[in-house]
Amino acid sequence: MSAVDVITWIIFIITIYFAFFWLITFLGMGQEKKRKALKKFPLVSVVIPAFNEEETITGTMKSVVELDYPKNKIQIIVVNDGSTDSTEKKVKNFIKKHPGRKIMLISQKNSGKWVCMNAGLSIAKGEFFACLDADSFVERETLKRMLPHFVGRTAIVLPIMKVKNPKNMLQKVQWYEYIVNMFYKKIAAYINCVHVAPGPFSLYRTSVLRKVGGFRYGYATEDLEIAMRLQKHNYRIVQTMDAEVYTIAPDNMRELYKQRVRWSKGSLLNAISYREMLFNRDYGDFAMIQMPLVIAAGFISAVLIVILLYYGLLKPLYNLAKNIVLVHFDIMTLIRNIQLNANILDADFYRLVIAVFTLVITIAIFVAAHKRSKEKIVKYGFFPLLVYLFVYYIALGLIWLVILKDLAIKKSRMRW
Amino acid sequence: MVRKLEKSRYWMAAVFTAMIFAFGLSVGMLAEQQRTKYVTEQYQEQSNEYESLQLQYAYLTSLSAERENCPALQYSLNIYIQHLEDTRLKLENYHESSSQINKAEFDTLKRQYILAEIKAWMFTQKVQKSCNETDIVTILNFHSKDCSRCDDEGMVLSYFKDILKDKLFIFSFDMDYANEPMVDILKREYNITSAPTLIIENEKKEGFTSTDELKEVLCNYYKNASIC
Repeated sequence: MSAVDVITWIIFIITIYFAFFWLITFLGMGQEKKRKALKKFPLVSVVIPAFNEEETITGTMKSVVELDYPKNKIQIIVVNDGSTDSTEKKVKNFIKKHPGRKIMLISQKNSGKWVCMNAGLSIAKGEFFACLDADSFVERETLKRMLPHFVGRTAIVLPIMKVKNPKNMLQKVQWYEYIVNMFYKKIAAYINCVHVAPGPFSLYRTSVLRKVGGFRYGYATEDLEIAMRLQKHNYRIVQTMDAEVYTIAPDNMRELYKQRVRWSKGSLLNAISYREMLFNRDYGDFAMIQMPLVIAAGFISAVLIVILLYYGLLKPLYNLAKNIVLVHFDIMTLIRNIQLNANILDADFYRLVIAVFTLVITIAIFVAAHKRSKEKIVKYGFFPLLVYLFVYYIALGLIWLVILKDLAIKKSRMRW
Repeated sequence: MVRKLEKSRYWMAAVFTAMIFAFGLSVGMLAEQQRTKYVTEQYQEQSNEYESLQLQYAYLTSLSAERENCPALQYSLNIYIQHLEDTRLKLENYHESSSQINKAEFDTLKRQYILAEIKAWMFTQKVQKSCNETDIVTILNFHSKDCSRCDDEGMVLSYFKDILKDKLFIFSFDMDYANEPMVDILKREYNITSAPTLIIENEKKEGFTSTDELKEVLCNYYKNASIC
């Protein structure tokens, strides 16, 4: 066996181990317990950080105002992070049109999302604190469905995040991705292993947030940083599957690339900065399974992508080119004599078993994820689904490759 | 405060992972057995083929030594060589993907193949001698595992084989194969010291022989081939 074989097998074993672990966890989960309906309505502060969001800010605020919740129990704080467009004007107009509502506008010079959220936190009066990105929209029932989950040491309750009106291929692919990711987070939450509280309507207990010192920069991913910090303080993070929030997903490769570089870097670097939890039994499953997974994920995808690209693409292409040169570009003779020497016995059964197993698990997860989030399985077409299953992760692996290269030469500088 | 850690889940995942790999391994081993069986059958067929060919040869020569029989002889030879080539492809495929388990079996098959190859080469020479006006060229190709240009040489050879088809017979030998004394005898006879080395009829070419060089040599032997 060559070194490449050994590495591939180690990666296969690790990946399949993780898959089984989550599968076993899922099978032990059972159906979700019905939460009691809310009897009293605590004050909730919703902070909307906004940087040049003139197109979506009104819709975002509107979705909060229209929440099925007592009007006087919602405090809205919009933090304008030095927008250079008409965001501020739009917010002021909105405030004028809704005189009976508690809406505040804070303007600051551009200093990053985490600073906005801390500014909001400093004047938040609510028992609960929600963050809502200015490109996201809550459903009427969302808040009511989330609040009953705050019991015991629960510090954050997460809604199910879905892609808003996916129009093009890229957004449709992300629609499927989000559904599967939310399902994975649901399983992780069952053993309190959630490591991220996304910007679209994560709901915090304000007192806990203040106790741990509010938000930090966290390598431009304050949502990962706060979740890992709360895990370190042994709080609980809950994922709901029926409280929806819709967010606008990148509609072009450039934006998606930028977003994913930020996310991936953030998850790796934040996990590294909380590495004292890694394999520390005191932190339970979070330390034993989720931390290793978050740290290893990038390396695993990058190595797999290198192997795939080299053996699946570069090497065959190089050989083909070399052979064409060897026969002085007499391509016709080469083509005419291609022999398909296919024989069922030639297949590598060992790898085939692993591949079939992986495919079956993937499809099972996909179906279960849709069932749990009550969505139709091919809601946005079959083709985007195929792209998601067979192409998308290769692209994400490539992003990891770029990130690891960047981190290795330490030239990168983080931006918001 | 100590958080929950359900150890059984970790062990179960480990057991299931081991099971999947064990399952994959046993399916692989089963397939390996089937392969060996299949290839062995192929070789059995191959040796029957050769016996049949020898019988044909004896029959044809005993009837008369006249030239009319040459086309029939050549036809039989081509069939034999084609079968030999098929077996080689199969052997190569299986050898690449086979694990250590059946290494001994594969070695035996490889040796049998080399013997069949040498027999075929000798048979070809007989045909060339019996039929005066043959338009057949034989090439012996000596290669080795750690030889950087041997694959390229193989590519060039199979390119000419594709064009010349039954006018060209190529017999390839692994020069490091020590199990079979016949390989040593051939090496000594032609004084082979490095790979790749080609013996084109009786002409020796050491080192990589390019498409152009090989074409030039081949054209000396063919009276009217399309490549010249």
